[in-house]
Amino acid sequence: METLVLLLIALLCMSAGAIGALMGIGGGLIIIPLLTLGFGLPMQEAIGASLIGVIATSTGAASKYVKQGLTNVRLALFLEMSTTVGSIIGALIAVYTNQTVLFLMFSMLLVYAGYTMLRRTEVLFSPEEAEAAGQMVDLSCQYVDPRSSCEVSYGVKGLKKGLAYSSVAGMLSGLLGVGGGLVKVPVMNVCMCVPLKAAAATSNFMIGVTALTGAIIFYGHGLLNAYLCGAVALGTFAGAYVGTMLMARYSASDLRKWFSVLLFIVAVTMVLKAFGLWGGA
Amino acid sequence: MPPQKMLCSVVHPILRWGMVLSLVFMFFGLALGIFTGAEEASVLPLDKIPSRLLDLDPAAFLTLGIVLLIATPLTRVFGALCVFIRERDRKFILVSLAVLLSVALAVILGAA
Repeated sequence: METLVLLLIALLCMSAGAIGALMGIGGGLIIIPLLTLGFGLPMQEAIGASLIGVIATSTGAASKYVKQGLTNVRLALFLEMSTTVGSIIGALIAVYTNQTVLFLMFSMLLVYAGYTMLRRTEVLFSPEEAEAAGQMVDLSCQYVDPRSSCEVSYGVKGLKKGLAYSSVAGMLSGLLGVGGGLVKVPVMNVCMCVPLKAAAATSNFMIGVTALTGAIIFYGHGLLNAYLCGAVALGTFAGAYVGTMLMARYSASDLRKWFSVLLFIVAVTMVLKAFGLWGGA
Repeated sequence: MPPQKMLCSVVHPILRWGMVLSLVFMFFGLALGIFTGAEEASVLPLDKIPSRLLDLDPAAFLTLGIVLLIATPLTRVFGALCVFIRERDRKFILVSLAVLLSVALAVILGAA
């Protein structure tokens, strides 16, 4: 692979890292079409590099968000249980399902989530309310908003619902190779009352573990192109750094609107994928 | 120290050092590959990395960076587990073990 191509890939992958860090998604939705449609690379090579890029985005952004207190580590671990199990089930049943129908259903789910996020304002659940509600575990947390410098304390509600939806998010990513962060952020924000910035940071933290299993399998089979993975990882690391800086510049309501727009865009690409018009699905 | 701060004080250095070390090795591997005009290569098996590092093989540096990057999310789950064991937080000891078990199960099923 030529030096110039590697540099270009690294530069373009910065956008995936930045959007991933800002919105709490992996960035595979950007990296895979970029490598396959933009550079004509085989799908398998692109998926392997994308998994490494997702871990780099997660690690790069989380190293800053954890320090800022934006990542709710307990909540992340709690939901990781069900997403990982969901992704195993999804991968196991993927061969028996109709991908076209799934892509169309997933796009409808994304439109619904985007519409709900646009329509409803953010509701905070206080740690005291969470304690009074007698949840199975206390996942209350606090952080200092990087934009307003105000301390935000929040409780987490709807844990059973959150676990169930997270397993659906994991299942969808096992079935379709996408969807983890795109479903987890609205679930945390709308159903569990986690502030959007904390939801994005927590989702970002979680996707590292989700991508980990795929990356280990690809590495074990020697399916990772060392130079391509290096270029993608360096680009996404740099992008994730930029994304964490951008998080400090925008309000939660701005991010909520942009997240909805992102959901609508992905919904359209899912419809295109369903009909074989995008990314070689 | 409050539980959340204790957790962050263990998880944050794991993430930061995982990021820094993998960045350094991958950057050096890429630069070396570009400088020496090395041909395209896939990742190396773990046992071949030390000897190839001594030969200044770019693929060995890149592979080491990739391995360190992959190991980082797993290490932070172990780090969190250690904090929960120290705090005797039984619920989260079980949660962390469940995450580690499901990752192991996914790898075993995926490799089969």
